[in-house]
Amino acid sequence: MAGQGTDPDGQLVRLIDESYAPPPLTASDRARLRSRLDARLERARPGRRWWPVAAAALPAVLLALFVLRPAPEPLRPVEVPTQLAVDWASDLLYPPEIVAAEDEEGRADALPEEYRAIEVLLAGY
Amino acid sequence: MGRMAGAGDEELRSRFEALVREQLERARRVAWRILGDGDLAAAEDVTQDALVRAYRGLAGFRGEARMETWFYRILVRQAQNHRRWRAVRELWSGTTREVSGGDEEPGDPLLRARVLAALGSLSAAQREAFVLVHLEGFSVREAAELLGRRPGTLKTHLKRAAAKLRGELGDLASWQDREPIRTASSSG
Repeated sequence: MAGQGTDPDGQLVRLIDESYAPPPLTASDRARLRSRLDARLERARPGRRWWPVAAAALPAVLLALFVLRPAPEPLRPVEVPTQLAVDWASDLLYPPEIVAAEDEEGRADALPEEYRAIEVLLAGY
Repeated sequence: MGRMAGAGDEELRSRFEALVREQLERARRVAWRILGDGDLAAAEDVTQDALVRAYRGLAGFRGEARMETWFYRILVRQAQNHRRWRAVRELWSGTTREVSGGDEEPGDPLLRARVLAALGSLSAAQREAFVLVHLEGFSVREAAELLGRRPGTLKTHLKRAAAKLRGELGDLASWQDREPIRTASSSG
């Protein structure tokens, strides 16, 4: 039972109990509720749930999607322009000299100083 | 019943059947009282939903608590959820459902209105505690379990609810009869 001070007067509780209650369940109410409940319980039976059906159907659906998927486009040979191929081969065989453009002061403007120093070292100019 | 396929499961099912038979009316009344707006159809819906939920979860019932306590925990939660959703719907739609005690009920409508107003002055937590302990006869410990609160917290709610109700309705009761509280409705 509740502790000290939690118990209202018994008569007051009785009064509230009588005044704060739904109408009593009649036999026809009970039958109506029971039949509605039975119908819902029947639907709620684990065997009647939707997810086992969905789980069973999922592989079949995936297979059907796989079979019916749109066919991929056939591979077509890529035409490489002949000139491009010649240029590439030519570049490979005869690497083009990279010549840095020089500005008015005679300094290469395309390469940083370090690269310029290495270039001078290797090429001797 | 799918996962429930043994003799123990048959026993669970028969216990559930007995629960429905014996507790249907009480469950409907508890739902009605916790909803607190006099909507009998809503109380019946909540009761049905709770029973269906309990049936679905029957395989998970481990018998640590009584089946009755286990079911009422589901019912109370269902009623609380219904009340919260109703509050959200009312907030959204800008309408408020009028609280009524039900026109079909016997008794003095003015007295009923006063009692409803007094209960309406309680917070939801106070009303739930009062309903379960004083009107439905659950012990403080059981009610605390049903509501997911500590017994100490529940006692505080009960104390405040009692004080408010004494203040609101004290003139209706004769204070000579100060018998202890066990006047809750019997089950079924």
